[in-house]
Amino acid sequence: MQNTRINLNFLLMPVLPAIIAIFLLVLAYPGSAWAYIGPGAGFAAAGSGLVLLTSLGMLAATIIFGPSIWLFRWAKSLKARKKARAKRVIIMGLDGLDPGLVDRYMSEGLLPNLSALKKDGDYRRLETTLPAISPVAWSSFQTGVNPGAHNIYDFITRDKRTCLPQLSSTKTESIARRALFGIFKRGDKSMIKLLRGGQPFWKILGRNGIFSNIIRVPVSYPPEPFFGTILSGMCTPDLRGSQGTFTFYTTGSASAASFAEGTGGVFQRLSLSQGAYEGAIEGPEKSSVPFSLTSEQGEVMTLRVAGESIALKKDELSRWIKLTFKVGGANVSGIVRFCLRAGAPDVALYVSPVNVDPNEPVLPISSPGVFAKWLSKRQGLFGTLGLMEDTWGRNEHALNDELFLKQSYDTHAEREEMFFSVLERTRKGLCVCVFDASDRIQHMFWRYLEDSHPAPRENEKFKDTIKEMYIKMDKLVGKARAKLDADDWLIVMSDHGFSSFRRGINLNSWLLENGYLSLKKDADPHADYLQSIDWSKTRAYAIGLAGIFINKSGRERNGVVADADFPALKAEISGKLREIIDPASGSRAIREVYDSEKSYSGMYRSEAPDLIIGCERGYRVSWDSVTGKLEKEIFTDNTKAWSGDHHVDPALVPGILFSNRLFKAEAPSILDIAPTVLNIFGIPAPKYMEGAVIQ
Amino acid sequence: MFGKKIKLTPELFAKLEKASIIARCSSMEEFALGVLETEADRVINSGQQKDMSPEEIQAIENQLKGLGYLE
Repeated sequence: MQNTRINLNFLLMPVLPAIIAIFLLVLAYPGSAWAYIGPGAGFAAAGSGLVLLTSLGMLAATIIFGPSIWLFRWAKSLKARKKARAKRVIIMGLDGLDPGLVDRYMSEGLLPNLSALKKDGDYRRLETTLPAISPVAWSSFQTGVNPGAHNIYDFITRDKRTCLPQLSSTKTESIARRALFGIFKRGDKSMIKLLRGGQPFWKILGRNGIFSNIIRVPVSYPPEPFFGTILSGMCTPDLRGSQGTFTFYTTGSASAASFAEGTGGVFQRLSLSQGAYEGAIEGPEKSSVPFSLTSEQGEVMTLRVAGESIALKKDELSRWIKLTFKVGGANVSGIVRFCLRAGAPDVALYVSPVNVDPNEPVLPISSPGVFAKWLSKRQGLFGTLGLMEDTWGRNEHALNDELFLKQSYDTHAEREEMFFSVLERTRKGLCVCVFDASDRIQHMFWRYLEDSHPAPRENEKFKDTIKEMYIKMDKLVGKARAKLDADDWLIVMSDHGFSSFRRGINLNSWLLENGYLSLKKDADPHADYLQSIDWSKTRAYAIGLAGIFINKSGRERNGVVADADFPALKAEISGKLREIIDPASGSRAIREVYDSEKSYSGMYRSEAPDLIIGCERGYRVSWDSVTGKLEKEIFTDNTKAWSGDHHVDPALVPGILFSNRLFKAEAPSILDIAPTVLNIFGIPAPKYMEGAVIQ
Repeated sequence: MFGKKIKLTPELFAKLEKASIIARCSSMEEFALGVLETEADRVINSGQQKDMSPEEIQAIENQLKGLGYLE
């Protein structure tokens, strides 16, 4: 019987030139969907002579095959360009921009550039995903499919074997390292794998000869090679492997409670030696870089670190400082920013998470790898962490409102600079950039919009911060409009809107109270990650933001719910959840409960929570519920600076869609963007894409 | 670099192709890899009820640290 081969790494293409092109891309850009993480293997390889040999090989291959690849791509792009309706498509993603606030500020005349776009082109509300969370929505944007077909339902998911949470976007795996054509095993190496399924539409454009420049679209780490450049966004880790760990150093006079492991950071003591306050910044694999602080006049101190001497003024963020960590004989480069929060004698120093140095990236933050370096050469060092704005630094008072805002806008300025650099060089093709400050500032300053919000306000001077942010985003749009040519297509969009987060609902506490969840005898209900649960008597549990998992037999680690009882149990829980009343307000807290079997389609549907919760405005799954802790009360006030959110029913928080050309669709969805852009370039959307072309 | 290969009968190949369209996969390879991985995990982990060590829990906490939505 004749057999057919399939290539498990997507490397077989039907046409010989495509094979050559992919081969060269793989050679040239080792950071692909699979990439080294952790310092060990990656750093050691980076330091070896193999790099030189590979470079020489790449050079030779480029000289030999370069012209034919270029010709092939040119021919492909010629075909696509004949049908294209625009020379360039530019997508500006303004994360979390809310249509309600946009409408209000436009009516007040505060957003002239967005108003002009609406007048000359089009403006619609953009249907978001279920749930309305950035990694979910931007994954649907990239792929044109629902979460059931791209596998991202939340920031975190649960490991079915342990019921513990894990990042939903990436997974670390150990694989054997082999030498001499795979004959000998040389131990194991850790690899990181992107878990998002589907494929971004810019890969399809690339196969048709259309070049794309993609900047900071969430869930793009590690970056996938394609015909274009990409800089990874949300979910890119820091050098410690976390989503962003700040460090706060103080002298011993601070409260003892401060010297602990914070939620988003680490609190450490400074030691005093010969008039200098000394500490060390932790990097990967327990490596560190020492620093010292000495007092100058007034509220100025001199920081000595990595051979530099820097004057730090109180409450001023430093520029990016490069640090070199010694790991396993290799040098690992990271960058940080410092902020002196208090001078001597009660010194307090904030140090940002250690970002991957874009000029010498040890993790695959861009594709091709030199793209991050190129940006860095053009504009200097810039932050590379997925979540650049240090929300936990603010929640835990390592930063104040003023500094958080400054940090957010500094990041925004870096992003703006790289966007316009890349836009200038995009003579034809696609240019996408996602700006995050709009989302983070609304998360942290929403309490200033509502007098009744339980979270404390620091200073009333921030009451217009959100409005000012919208005005700033409008100016950014105006600057981009000024750079448009007649045959350019500009799309300005957000992935979801925004709402207040006044009250938290602990779903696990509700499940306990209603008999669906049981605790172990004498267990601490406040233990993290569902550690207090008696699984043999638990029929449903919650972890993450999105919803509830049924403890299904044969699927979960200690599943007890039989297949036959599964639908009825889901219906029963859904019905009761819809009736939950917040005793503080007497109003309903949950607008809708969605059955994931009915809401999603695709091969990853079974990975979704069984019930997705759509909260009413003002409510969100509580902080403790997200990590699987139980609380005494089902409802709690949210008193954190993180006071706005969008994890409510998606119908309540659509995004925005502006275009400089007319769109006819009445109710466009974020799933429609991918097929629409393909259509603009004259490329038919693949059948698996669900979105419709916005005419 | 070019990955491992497995041989499929034309009938199975056609079946996978059809299933990948129904499953809204971007390619037949995505479907085949997804199915193989899920099933391999299920078989390997069958009967394993793993309790996490404090070190493993610490590693998870570290990985999620700084994620704004989580406390």
